[in-house]
Amino acid sequence: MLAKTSAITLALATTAFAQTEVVWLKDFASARAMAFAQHRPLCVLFRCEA
Amino acid sequence: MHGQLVHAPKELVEATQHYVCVRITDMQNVDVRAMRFDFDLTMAIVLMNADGTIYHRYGTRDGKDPLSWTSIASFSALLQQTLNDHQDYERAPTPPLPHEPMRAIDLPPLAKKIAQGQRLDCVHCHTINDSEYAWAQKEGRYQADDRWLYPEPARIGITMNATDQSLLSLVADSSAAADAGLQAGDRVTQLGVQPRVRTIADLQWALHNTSAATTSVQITFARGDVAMTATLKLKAGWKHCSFADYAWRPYKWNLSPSLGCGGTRLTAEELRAIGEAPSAFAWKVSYFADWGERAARGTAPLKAGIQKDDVVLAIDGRRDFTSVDEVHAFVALKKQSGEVLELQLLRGKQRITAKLLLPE
Repeated sequence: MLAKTSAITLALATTAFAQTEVVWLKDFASARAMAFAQHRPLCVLFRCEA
Repeated sequence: MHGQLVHAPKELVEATQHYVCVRITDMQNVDVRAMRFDFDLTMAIVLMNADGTIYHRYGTRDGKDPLSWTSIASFSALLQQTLNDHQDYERAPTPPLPHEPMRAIDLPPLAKKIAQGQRLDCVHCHTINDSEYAWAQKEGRYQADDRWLYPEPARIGITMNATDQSLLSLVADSSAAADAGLQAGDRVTQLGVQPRVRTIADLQWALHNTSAATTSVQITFARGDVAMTATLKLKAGWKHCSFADYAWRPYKWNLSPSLGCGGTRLTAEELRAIGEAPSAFAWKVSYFADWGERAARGTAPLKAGIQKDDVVLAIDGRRDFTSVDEVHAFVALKKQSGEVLELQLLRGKQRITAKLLLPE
């Protein structure tokens, strides 16, 4: 699982990171509702699957 | 940043725990009236309140390196700092005014394609730019200066620290920033529409929303513990950048004129084989534009006699390009439709001059 990279894009968007260390929701409306209810800020990552 | 581990950068993981994280891979249903950032980017991050207030933008780049202004260190720090901004904001929220949402697929050019039965597998970020450009052109709203998107800090004469991104690391002599008295080590706190600058993208957002015709803009900064304010005097053309700095932007494909053809840069070995210095710039024609709404563009180079595999040695006598993208930026930003461009070509061992009537 450990791999070297020069890209934060990889760190943020690779399957390994995206799925194991941080829960990235897929639906903005749900995320927004959760953030609203919990008074938490939103971190919105725009990144294609490719 | 180079060589860091993909797996579990601890400071980043910890910082994200305070956030509701969401990843958007398709812009189709994003409200493009509310969610604005540099759509030319292949990755962007927005930190925001659930009420729609955007605190910070992150993920921009310079003309040379897509990773120039992104790092785990800078992003982790931003996440931590923004928690304070969020707490401050929640004490006295000022939500954006209500507006009629516009999803990307509601933009008229995209809506038209859908109505015509065209299937959209994925709406990329740059597709928003393409659609907004086409819409503005059709309605006669497009201004030539609109192409100067998200000006880099260098446009006002400053270089920001890539890790501590509100910190000035360099102020260029005789620049707007220097004339306003800014110095290396100052920390930018506010500029234009951006109430709290923490990132280079924040600064670019402020500059993007400053009209090209504006002659002055107020900047607030801290020198040590002292808050200071100055006025940046902006000269005509202050938003412009070099062709090389513009080259990475997909936005250039919208602009007119266009070469109507493209290709790849010759390698050092290929240059040697044709008797050119390995450091020279030349490129080989590999395609003619024959797709999409501007398919006609590809006929112009064919009419000029240009052929696939021709090597382009010079354009209007210029050989000082660093990439084929820069050539495209040069044509789009410098030339006019209907203008004749002179291309020095090598076809086998034969040198040819082609005169290309630039298409729309």
